[in-house]
Amino acid sequence: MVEVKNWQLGRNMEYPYDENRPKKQWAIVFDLNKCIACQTCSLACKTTWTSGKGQEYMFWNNVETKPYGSYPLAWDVNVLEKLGHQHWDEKGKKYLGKTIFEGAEPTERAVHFAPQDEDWMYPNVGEDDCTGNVKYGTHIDINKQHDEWMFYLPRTCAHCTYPACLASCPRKAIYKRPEDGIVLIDQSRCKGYGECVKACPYKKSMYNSHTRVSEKCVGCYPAVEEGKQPMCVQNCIGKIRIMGFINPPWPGKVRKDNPVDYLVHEKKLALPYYPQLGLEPNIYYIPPIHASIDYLVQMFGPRVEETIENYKKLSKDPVAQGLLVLMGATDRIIHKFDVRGGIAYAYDEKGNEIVNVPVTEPVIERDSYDSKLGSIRVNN
Amino acid sequence: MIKINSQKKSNIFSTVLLATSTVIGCLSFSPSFANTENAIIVKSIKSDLSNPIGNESYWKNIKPFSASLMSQPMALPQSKVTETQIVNVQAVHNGKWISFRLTWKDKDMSEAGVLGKFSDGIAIEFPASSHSVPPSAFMGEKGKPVHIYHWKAAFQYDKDHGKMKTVKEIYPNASIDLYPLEPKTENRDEMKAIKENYPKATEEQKRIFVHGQAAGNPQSYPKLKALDEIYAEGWGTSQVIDNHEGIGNGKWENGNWTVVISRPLKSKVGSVLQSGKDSSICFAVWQGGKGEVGSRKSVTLAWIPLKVSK
Repeated sequence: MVEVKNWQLGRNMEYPYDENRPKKQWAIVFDLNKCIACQTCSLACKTTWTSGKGQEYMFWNNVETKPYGSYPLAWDVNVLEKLGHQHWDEKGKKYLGKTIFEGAEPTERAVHFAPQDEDWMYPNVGEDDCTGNVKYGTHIDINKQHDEWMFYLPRTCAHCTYPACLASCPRKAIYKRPEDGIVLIDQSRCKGYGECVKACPYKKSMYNSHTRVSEKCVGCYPAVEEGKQPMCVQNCIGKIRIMGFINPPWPGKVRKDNPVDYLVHEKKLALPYYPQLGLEPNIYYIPPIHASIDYLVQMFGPRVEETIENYKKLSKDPVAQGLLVLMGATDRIIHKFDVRGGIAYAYDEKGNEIVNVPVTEPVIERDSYDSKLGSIRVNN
Repeated sequence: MIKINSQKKSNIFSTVLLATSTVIGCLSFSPSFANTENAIIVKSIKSDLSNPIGNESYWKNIKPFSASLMSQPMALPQSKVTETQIVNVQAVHNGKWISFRLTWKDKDMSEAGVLGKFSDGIAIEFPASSHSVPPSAFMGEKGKPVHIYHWKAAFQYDKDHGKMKTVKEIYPNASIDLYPLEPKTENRDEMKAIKENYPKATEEQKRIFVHGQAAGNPQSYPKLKALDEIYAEGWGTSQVIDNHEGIGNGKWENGNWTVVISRPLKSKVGSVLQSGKDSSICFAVWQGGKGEVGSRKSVTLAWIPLKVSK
């Protein structure tokens, strides 16, 4: 094991391989306040990648209802229970517990649990389940935590900086691409040992019983290579996602005009999920404003309250609003954005404009009577 | 930093001892072994050995050699305990082919199939190079490869049935709507229209949707000889080679596996064995039912001398 830097933990940690960050790191930011679990992303992914034999229950992208939904069954509670006590320092900046690599038994690469075959067969278990029945006469205050709550959690592979799948593969059949940080299982080399399925705490490596090898989300690398966002992002009808490239928050690295850097580092609106596991995952979430803070702290770490407060201030921030309206406004990868004169502009890697969108749509009022048609307008 | 518990420490200690003795053994490695008690004697016979199944009468005259195994102690992940302690080895040759009859105890027969279920298996390893000092017994070393024949219960199924298990065989109750390029509908008229209006997809076109096969992974194709032939030059380097000279046959009965692996004495691509000459062999056993797969296995910790009789 060697010591590597993990900015999400605020400290160094142990990992089987040297720190070797890619030139660019693939990342997606999801706004959980907007996800409606329509599963369009799941189906966009499935029809693109996993419609073949042995992939019947395979969803590289899934959306589960929290807290009770999970795919595979109970992946999160199992991993958290195995890892044991997870605590941060008082300021919430440094993780004091063990990561899955540090807590591993001497015969293993990572703290893990092995889901059984049946555990994958209920991809939408717990759908829409709330923590309890809403009491008669309950008044919901949008700015406060709700008594009973649920939220939707869309998940892809996090193309982690320190992937557990890669660390655990004794055949070295898993690699992280230096050009974009996408983590791939070499389909010509894998022998289906299932070590990655066991070790990935997010359970995003999956076994194909027909090909006898394991498979996982490929980050839609053919699209990314052409400057396009993955299919799950392109097809998100709620426009809750944006894919881009993230930099580590070190001096001189963060770019304020990079959409992902802006949301994660500059405005502190989005957080990685279960950072305490130690993989430095690269899917980031704008946390839901209404769910239990205790639950959210467990999932997103101690900075979640601050992040929710930042989100609530967005109505006074035209630049952040501009970026949020650019989400879902283009299929292309936005490398740079700018907001001026009430318009949000998106640019590609070469600096060419991809799209521009008004931050606030203009309001047009029409007369209640349409003289051309001679009729009363019911929706003016 | 790797933490080592006391049991593991003792394992590693014994590994180091054995590895040291291997090196000493290797330094004095010579074409003949003085002590035949510690060697596998390959008896010369006149029978056909191109596909023996293990119940042939000549095996009755061959004294088994007990090879001791230990949980693989070098690379992670590992089995926590040694699941298979002994594999009994009998070997014969007819001047052209050599066969190894291998038996070991395994309470449950495991043939894999679904996620989390792994196949029972056994592998035999030979030095692939002609160096006077054999390579590391642990999957070879850079520049000094090893040649491995890997039999699995799952591969035996392929050989016996001439194909891999289908999804319907793995999941008998599965109800499958349709697969890409394989349209299916209950409506006869619609099905007729599909057949008339759309050309039938070729196997190659269908394969695009079966990732392992599309990538040409040998793991995703049926193993009609019940074996993988493998080359390796150290941990994590093993590669299935496109050579299918060897053949395997395995049968599980009353808590025991009997597997026969046969190969030509002179392999086209790898290790060469010769009557009257000595070589070396190693063994690895996987008990799939105990979760053993890949690096989780029981292995012999040093080369065992192999005396091929004249």
